[in-house]
Amino acid sequence: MITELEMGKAESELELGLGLSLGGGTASKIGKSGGVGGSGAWGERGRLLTAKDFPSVGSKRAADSASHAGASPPRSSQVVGWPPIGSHRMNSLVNNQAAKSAREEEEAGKKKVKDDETKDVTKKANGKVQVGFIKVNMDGVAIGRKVDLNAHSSYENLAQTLEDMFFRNNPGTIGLTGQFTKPLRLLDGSSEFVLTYEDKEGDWMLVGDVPWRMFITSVKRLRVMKTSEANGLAARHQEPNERQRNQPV
Amino acid sequence: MNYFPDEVIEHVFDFVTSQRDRNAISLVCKSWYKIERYSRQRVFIGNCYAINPERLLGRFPCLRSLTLKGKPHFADFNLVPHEWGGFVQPWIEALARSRLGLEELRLKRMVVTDVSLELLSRSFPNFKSLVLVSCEGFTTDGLASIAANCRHLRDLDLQENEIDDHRGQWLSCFPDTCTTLVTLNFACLEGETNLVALERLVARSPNLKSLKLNRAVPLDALARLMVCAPQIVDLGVGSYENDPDSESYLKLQAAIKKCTSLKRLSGFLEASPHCLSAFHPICHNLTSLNLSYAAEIHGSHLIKLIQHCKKLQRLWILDSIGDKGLAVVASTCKELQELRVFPTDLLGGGNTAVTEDGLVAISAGCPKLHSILYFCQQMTNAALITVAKNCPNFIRFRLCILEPNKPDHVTSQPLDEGFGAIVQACKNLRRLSLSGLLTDQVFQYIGMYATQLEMLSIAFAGDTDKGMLYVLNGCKKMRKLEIRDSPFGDTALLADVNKYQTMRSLWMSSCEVTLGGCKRLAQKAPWLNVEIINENDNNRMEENGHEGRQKVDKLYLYRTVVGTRTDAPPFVWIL
Repeated sequence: MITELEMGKAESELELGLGLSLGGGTASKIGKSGGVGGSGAWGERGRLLTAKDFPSVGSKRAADSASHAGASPPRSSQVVGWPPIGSHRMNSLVNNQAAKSAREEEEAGKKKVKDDETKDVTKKANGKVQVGFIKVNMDGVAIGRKVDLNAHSSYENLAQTLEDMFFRNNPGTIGLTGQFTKPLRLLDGSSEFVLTYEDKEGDWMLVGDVPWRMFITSVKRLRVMKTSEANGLAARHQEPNERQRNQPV
Repeated sequence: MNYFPDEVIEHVFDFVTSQRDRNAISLVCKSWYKIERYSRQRVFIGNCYAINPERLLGRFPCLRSLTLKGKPHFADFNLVPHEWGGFVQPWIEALARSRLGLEELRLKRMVVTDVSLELLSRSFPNFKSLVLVSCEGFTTDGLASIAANCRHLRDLDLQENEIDDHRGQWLSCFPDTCTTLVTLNFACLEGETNLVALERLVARSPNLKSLKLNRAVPLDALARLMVCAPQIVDLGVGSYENDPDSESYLKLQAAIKKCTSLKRLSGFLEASPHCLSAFHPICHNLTSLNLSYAAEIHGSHLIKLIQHCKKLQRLWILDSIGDKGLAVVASTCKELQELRVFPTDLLGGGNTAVTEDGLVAISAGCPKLHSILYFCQQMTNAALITVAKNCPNFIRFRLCILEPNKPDHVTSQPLDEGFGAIVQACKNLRRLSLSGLLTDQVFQYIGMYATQLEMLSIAFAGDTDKGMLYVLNGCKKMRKLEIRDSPFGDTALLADVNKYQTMRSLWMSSCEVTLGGCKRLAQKAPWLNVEIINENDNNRMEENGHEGRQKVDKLYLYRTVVGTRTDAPPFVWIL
C-alpha cells in the first residue's frame, strides 16, 4: 500500500544518520545540534510515531476519536485513499511535483546540501528528479509495496513507515509475519531484518551509509532482507525479485 | 413456435451484440436459450467471483472473447489490500483445459502473473487480443511470452498497470514473422525500451493503428517511428523533449504532416511545450486528446494547441488549464462529449486552478457534453443548478471537491440543492459521484429522481441511515454502490436484503455497520458473499459477544452463484 503521509515537501530538519553502523559502516550525522540526532534515540523515536500521531489518516471516525487530533478537519492529502485518483496517476503526479520543486530550488539558487549532491539531484536529463514512489520488497512477502520517498525526510522516518507497512496493523502481512509484535528497528541492526537498497549502478547496499539526500537520488528500490543474508552485501547477490517470479521466459 | 430453422435464427442473433440484449434473448424460450448460448462469442463478467470458469464454459462453449473484472473500484485508491484476490490464473487454466478457441481477453483490476501470461500465450493458437487495465503481479517477462508465442497477435494494450520492468528484451521477442499488430500500448512501463527492436516492429506492422509509447522513447525515436507508421490513428507520445531547431524535430514535423489519419493523441509524459506546434497541422482531425499525464504542458502552449482542436470529442486534462483555459475549450470544442479535469496540487493549498466557473463555462459552451469528471477546490449550488440547466444530457457526472465536507463556498450551505438539480434535470444519468458537504437531503433527491442510476460513489456524506435507505429504495437500476466514511449502519444495510440480488456489489468502508449486522445479513442472504476486510489488529474480529458494537472497517458484498470463494487471504473474513 502506498503511504500517503504528507505528500510534497520533504523539508528535513532531522536529517540524521544515527550511528547506523550496520556492519561497521561509517556513521554520518548531518543533523541539527541538540536535535534528536543522537544515536541512542532511535529506539525511543521509533515508538513516538504511531497511528495516533496522524489522527486524520484513515477514516473520519478515526479522526473524530483520536485524542490529540487537533480540531482541524482532515486535509485532502492526509486521508487514506483521498482524493480518489488512481495510484498510477498519483505516482506520476508526485514525480512531477518533486521534479518541479527540485527545479524551483535550483532556480532559487538554494544550496541545501553539498554541491556534488545538488549536482546529483539535477544531473538527470533536463534536471528531472525521478524520486517518488519506489518499490519495496521484503523477504518472505510475496507482493511488494511502494513507498513515497518524497514524503520522508530521514532514514528513521522511512524505516518507521516500512515497519508500519510490513509489520504492524497491516493486512498484507497478518498471517505471514504476525508473530512479530515488537518494533523491528530496521536500521540499527538489532533485529532479524535489515534494510537494503539498490542504487543506480545496480549495487545493493545497506541503507544508512550515505547522507539522506544522496540516498534518495541514488536509490532505485528497497529490500527488507533477513540479516542472515545480508553478510557480504558488497558482493553480488541474488535479484530479490526472483523470489516473486515464477519462471521468467 | 419457431418458423425458421435454427441457422436463420442464429444469423439474426449475430446482429445482436450487446450482452444485455443477448441475455434478454436467452430468456425468451428454451430454444432461443440454446441457440443463443452456442452462438455467443463474447462474454462480459463484471465480478470474477460471481461465477466460476466451469459454469461459464458449461453455458458458453464457443466463447471467443472474455472480459473479467476483479477488485472493487475503490482498489484504485488503495482501499483494498493487494492480496485481496482477483487472480486470473484459475480462469486461464480452465479455459486452457477446455481447448477453447479463445481470441480475446480483457482484464481489469486483476492479479496477473508471468505464469498466467505464459500459459495464455501457449494455450490458444488463435489468440489475438490482450487488454490489461489496472492489473498487477506480472513483469516484462510475461510480456515476452505473449510476444514470442502469440503468432496472430493483434492487440497488446497495457493501461495503467503495475508492471515490474526487468528492462529485458520483450520487444525483441516478437518474431520477424509477426506483422499483424494493430495496437501496441506500453505507456505504463517504467523502464528502458529497446528502440531498435521497437522501430523494426513498427516498420513491419502495416496494420498498426494505435501506438502508445513509454517515457523511455525519446523524440528522435518518435520521429523515426512516425515515418514508419503514417497510418497511425491513435498515438501516445512518450518523452517529448528536444530542441526545436534540431534535425529530429524537423523530421518529426514532416512526419506528423503525413499522419492524416491521426485522431487520438495522448502521453507527453515529459515535454518541451514549445515543440507542440509540430502537432498543429493535424489538430483539426483530433477527436480525442489526453494530456492528463503531461504536467509540463500548460499555459499558452496548451491553449494554442486546443484552439486548433475544433473537432475534439474527448478531452482529459490537468487543472493547470485553469478556468480561463476551460473557457477556451468551451468556445472551441463544440463537439465535446467527455471532459476529465484532474488535479495537480494535492496539498489543497491556495492554488485554485479550476473552480465552479470553469465547469459552468463548459456546460454553457458544449451542448453535446454527456460525461464529466471534475476535480476542483470549490463549488456552489448556484453553479451546479446552472450546469444542470445547460446540460440535461449527462450520463456520467463525477464531481470531486478535494477537501472532504466542503460546503458551498459562497453560502456555506450543503451542496444538496446543487446535486439535486443535476439528478432532476439529467434523466439519463447512469453514474454519479458526490463530494462536498452533503446531508440526507441529497439522497432523498437521488432516490426520487435518479431512476436510471447504476453506479453511485459516496464519500463523507449524509447524516443518518435514512440517506442510504433513500437510495436503496429509490434507485431501481442501481448496480454498484460504493460508500466510504459516511454514517450509514446496520439499519440501512439490512432494510431490504433482496435489493442486493439486483445489484452487482456494495462497498462500505469506515461507515457504521457492525459485525453483528453483517452476520445477520449473511444469514438472510446465502446467495451473497459478505466479505469483511479487516485491517485492524490480528484476530480482533472474533466471536466475543460484542458484535453489535464492533464496527466493521471494510465491507464488500456481492451476489454470486458459486458461493464462498476459496482464495481469500487470512485478513478477509467471508461470513
